Amino acid sequence: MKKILKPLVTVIICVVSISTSAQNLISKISDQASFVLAINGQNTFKDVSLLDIEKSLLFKEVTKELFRRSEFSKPSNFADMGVNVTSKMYVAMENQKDITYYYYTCAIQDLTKFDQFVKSGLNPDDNTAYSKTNGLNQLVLNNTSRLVWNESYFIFIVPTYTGKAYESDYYRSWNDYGFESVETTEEAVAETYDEAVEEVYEIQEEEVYQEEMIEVVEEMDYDSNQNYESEYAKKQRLKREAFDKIEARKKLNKKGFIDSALTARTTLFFKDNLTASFTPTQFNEDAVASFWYNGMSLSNLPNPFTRMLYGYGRGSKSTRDILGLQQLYNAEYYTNLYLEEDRISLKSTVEFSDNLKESANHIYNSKLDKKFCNYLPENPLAYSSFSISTADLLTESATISKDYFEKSSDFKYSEEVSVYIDLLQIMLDEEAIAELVTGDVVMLLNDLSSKQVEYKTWEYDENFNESQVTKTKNELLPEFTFMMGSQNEELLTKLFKLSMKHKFLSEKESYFVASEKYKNELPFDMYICFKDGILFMTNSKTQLKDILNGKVEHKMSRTQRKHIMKNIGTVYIDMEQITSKLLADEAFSKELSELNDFKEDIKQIQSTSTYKNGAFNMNAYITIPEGEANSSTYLLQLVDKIIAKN
Amino acid sequence: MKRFTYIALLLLTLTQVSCFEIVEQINLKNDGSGTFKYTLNFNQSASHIKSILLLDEVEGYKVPTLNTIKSKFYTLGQKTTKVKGITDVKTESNFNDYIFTYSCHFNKIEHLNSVIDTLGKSSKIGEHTNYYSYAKDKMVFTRLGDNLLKTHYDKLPEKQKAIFNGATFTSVCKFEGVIVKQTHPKTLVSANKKAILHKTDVISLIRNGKLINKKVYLKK
Repeated sequence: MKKILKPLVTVIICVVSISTSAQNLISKISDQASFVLAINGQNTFKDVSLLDIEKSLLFKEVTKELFRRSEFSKPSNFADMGVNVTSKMYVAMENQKDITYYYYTCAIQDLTKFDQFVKSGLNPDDNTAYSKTNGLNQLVLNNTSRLVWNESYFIFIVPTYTGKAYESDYYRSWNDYGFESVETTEEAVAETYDEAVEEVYEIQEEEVYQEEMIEVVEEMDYDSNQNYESEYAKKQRLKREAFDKIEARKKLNKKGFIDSALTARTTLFFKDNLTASFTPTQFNEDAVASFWYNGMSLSNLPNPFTRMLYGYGRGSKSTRDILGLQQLYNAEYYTNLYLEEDRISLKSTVEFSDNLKESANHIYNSKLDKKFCNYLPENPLAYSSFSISTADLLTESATISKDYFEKSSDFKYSEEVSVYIDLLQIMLDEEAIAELVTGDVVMLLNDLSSKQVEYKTWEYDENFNESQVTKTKNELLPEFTFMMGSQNEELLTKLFKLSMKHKFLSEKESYFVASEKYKNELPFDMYICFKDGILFMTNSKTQLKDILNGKVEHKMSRTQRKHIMKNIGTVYIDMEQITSKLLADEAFSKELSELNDFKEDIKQIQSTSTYKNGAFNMNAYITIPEGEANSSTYLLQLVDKIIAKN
Repeated sequence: MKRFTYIALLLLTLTQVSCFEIVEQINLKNDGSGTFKYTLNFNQSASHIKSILLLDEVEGYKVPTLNTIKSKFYTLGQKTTKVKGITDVKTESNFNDYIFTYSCHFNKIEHLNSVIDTLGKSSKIGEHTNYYSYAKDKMVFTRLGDNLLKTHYDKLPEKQKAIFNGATFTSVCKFEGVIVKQTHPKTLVSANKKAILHKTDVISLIRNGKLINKKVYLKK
């Protein structure tokens, strides 16, 4: 009995340990990761079978694209790949010193098939790509990318070098190292060789390479008896060779660094001693996919002060990043995707760091003014709203910015910036700005209506003499309304009067329209008025009438009103209504005949944003048509339909 | 506010069907000289154009200002003043109706080929065919087309190709002499036998430029 029991227990222990290690792949992701995507295979394939996916156009397209230039041969089903697609798999980006790793890890279902699959594209004459060390199989792909696996899971890892020491001088060619500025005068010709070398020495950034450059150049065969042209050409050639030699060495060193870093990282991946693992707090077990991102930094916040300071340019973010205080002023972003029975939903959370929590508490502690409720019409095609406290946004932005720069010991202008922000705060009266722009905003797409417009063209008589004629056609025009809360009627009235003085606006009974001068430049009529602490801009005559009456004739449904009034941010799009309105239009029904096939596919898109206990939450969902078995099957069918159409 | 304006205008550009017409008018005298007028009429798409002009960028392309459009159009016109045999060049940009007109006088109709060549080089389109020719001795006018634009059109994304949906091209040629016969089945001859008219959609013309190939024989 013991003879049978012992190997059985060994096998059970092995299986349990293998499956445990496979299940805990998340623990192999370092806490230095900046984004992690987890795909829960078990939930993904709960309502849709592997076979359904394998038969789908989506599978064919994805495998075609994925394996187009890959070393692996294109699989026809999941089983051929040997991977366990019903387990949890992860994609991550991890930042370490001088190197960033992008990797994908997943459990192996069938080692033999996996081995066959990954080795299928190997060149039989190439013995260098595949190796096996300490029980770990390794394939080197594209020189640096690696696929490493044991019996139960694999990692596919791609590195990017982020350090400075071995980086190539992309913006400097060999010619920039000293000679191009040499004037072609006799005096310049007489310039000593040592001076030229000295120039090279100054320009090179890394000391080690500066020294190497001098050594290489000093060894040059320099013959001063040659004529100037040949001397110059030779000097240039030798310089180029020296530069190329250094660049080649940098490349070699870089490759060595990446190789050893990759070996260390993959070895650690297959050991259980990663002390600082990634520990997500908001990955939901019921989600199909979960995403975490650690990049919601100060720069992502609505911060007018930092924007004023740095501007909106591409380079501005990197300028902020080098200040190095991101960890103190960041926010973690989590998203979970659920494929439910009647809807596809996305639940996101932004968790602010302690330094930002207090400020966020003030900024988001706001609700839309109840007076907006009177002007929300029934059955809008779409709406979006948000409510923040403008006064708190300005005050807290200044506080955060000052605090941020004061703590930035590396930033030599932190004192100046602090004074600059103080001065700005004095100049900008937060209370006065908040009075003008309260922070309450609602945007409505009221309708899509057909409007008759005139256009000019030519007609020809029997002898083809032309005459210009005016014809009419129907155009589909979106009717929309923008509402913004404001408590400073006096200033707004002054602004309206100023606009009239400069002939931008004309005054009608109790509202304003674009002046005759500017009317032609606008594609639609625009009515502007101020009532009940709300600034209105609309091109809808119906909405204008309601505004002037002080309330809408037919109010928005109670559910939708509650949706807008109770949350700090909302988005609602009635896709069904919009599609039917577009298709009802003669011109559009021809243009968008393909839309006809999708008109039943998406009913509504809705998103709700709330703020609670230092976390900003956004729940969005898409309602799927009634009668569909579940959203997984529906989504697969919809994607296949789109692929088939293209 | 800026975000709202952007959303509203983008929505407007998406809900508008663009449409435009191109009209080519030639008056040809028996000696081979005459006048040429080329009109681009975007009046049908005025709302669409107005929306686009209020945006900074559409589908990754920077939207030019009215002044830039006017100046570029004028510069293109001015380039053709240097073409031999071309005089009285006029460009007109009507931003109230979005109608743009180029007109000129030619000593020989073949000079128009050089005009197109000049414009082609300016807009990096490429080489040209002999689009217009007139054999004075035989009194035969020839109009040819090519597939120059097809390659460029084929490279456009489907969304941008849609711009040409519904666009029309009308060619009107008036002659001093009387038309004896013409070779195109879809070209109309006027009642007085002194003009022809050919109307087609722009997409067909781009796909097959030779669609407008024709010869017009005038009475000697």
